Amino acid sequence: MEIRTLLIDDEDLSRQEMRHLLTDYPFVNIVDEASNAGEAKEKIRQHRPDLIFLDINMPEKNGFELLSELDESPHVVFVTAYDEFAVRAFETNALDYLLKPVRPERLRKTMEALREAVKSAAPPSADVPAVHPEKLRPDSLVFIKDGDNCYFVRLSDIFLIESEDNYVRVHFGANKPLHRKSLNLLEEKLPQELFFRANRQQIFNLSFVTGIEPFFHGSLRVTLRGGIRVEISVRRASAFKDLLSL
Amino acid sequence: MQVATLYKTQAYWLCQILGWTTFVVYELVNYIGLGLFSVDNALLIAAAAPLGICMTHVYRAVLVRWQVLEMPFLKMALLALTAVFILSTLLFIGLTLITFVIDGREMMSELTLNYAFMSVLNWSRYLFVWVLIYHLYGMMERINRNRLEQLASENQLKNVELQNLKAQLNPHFLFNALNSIKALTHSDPRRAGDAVTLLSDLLRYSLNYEKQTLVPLSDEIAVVRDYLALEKIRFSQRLEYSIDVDPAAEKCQVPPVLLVTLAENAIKHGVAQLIKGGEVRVQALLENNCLQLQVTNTGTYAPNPAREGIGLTNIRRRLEMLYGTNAVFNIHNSGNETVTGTVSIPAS
Repeated sequence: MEIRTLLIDDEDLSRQEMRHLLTDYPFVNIVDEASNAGEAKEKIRQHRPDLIFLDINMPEKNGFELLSELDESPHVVFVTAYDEFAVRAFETNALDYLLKPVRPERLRKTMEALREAVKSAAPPSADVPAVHPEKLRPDSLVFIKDGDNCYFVRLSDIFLIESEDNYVRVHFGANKPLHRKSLNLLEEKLPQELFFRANRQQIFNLSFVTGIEPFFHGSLRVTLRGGIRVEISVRRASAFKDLLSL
Repeated sequence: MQVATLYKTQAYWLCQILGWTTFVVYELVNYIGLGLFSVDNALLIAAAAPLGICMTHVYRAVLVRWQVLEMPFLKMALLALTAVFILSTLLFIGLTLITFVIDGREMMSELTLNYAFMSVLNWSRYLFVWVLIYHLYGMMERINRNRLEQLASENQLKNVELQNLKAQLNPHFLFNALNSIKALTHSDPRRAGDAVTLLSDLLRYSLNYEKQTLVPLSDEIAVVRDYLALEKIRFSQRLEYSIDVDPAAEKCQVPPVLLVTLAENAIKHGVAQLIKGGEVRVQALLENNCLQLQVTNTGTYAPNPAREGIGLTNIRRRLEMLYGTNAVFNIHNSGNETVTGTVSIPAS
């Protein structure tokens, strides 16, 4: 197993130290380094790493802002010197966070958790031959930052996406944070076998459907697990029927 | 607090009842043992207990009202002895009246001045014990309370000191510096060693600075130099800095850590926010008997009116405390992409 890793930190010495600490883990392959969010975004697109070590405080854009701009998040280990909000971010299932200077035995724990996480989910590796490299997969992680609250959510756990002004509200579990992406752009990225565009405002997750019934004028109404109802417009209804007959 | 008071009231009544019951039992045993037991005697003793409780309870109310337990020891002791005498006399008079009501004539024949005096003296033994216990308890309580108050105020002082320390030493800086040093221990151990020395001096200065209200500018400049050298290690080519001090100004007295705070702000809000980094320029000059301290950095000043940073607020507060209206502090955009913070204080 090889974990393709990107180090993101604005301080040279800090990256150097991380690199040094990671020499204990031969399965970690550091593919590149980035010293700010813009550079990191570019390098994530280029290398599609399995894992990033991410400093939170960086010039211009911080680590959270970087993550919320990505379509899909790699596994993330936050590394920070002193940050009250790192801890807050952690309540939302990020992989882990480390405090600088990093203790080697603390890093060991992180790496153990990481091996588990990578094992259980096929990582978005560059060597996986992707037919649509821009498409997300059901097990893709998406990072959502709504105000002070941060969430890492697996795509397959999202049951409904609704447009709200220029953004979308993403429903999963008991949460429904606002995500700063447009519904149309998001639709292009979502896997078609899992998500269906029901109408102009809503996209729902097919695996959450518990009931379908005819509605007015040839439209349909589906009920999702948890009781939320979504109307499929007349225009989309035939596509939905085709999908079901397959 | 209310529960404690309730508990104390219960304890007080328990002591009253137990104490006076003990008195009754003791006296009865004494009379029986001496063969002097009579129904009259027993009744008299039994009547003395409730009467004693009533009187001492009134005495307690007086103590509370006059706050006798808060008085200096000697004054309190004199009052207590007087109280013992008065209480004994009252108890005697009370008991005499009761006896008179029950069988007046027989008793009047025995009432001599000597008898009265001896009786008062006899009662005073018991009342003395009561007063002694009550006053000792009160004094003990006062001592305890004083000690608690002292501890609380010491604790408060510590908290204030700690708060100051927090305000002056940015933890973000501290941990990042330590992390840089850790990295250097592999790549450049010699430089790591130097950095530890710089950091030690900086820490020592900020831990000790409260002992002095003013320090020579040269001391403060030395610390600013250490601080910027440490940040230079962390930011490497992203940070350029210069320190320019008018030699005539070096002996001027300045509030400690003031210039360090300004430099810290310049890094935190200026250079650290820029991908390419920038410059920090520290200047001190003497003008018209007025010392000007100036820190200029690359960046843009965009104040948040809702909450000024703790660093700047502290600077304002300290300057006001030290110089009143004679000090001026301002921070503004001094040019395209430069911010200048200036403090002017009297030079003498």
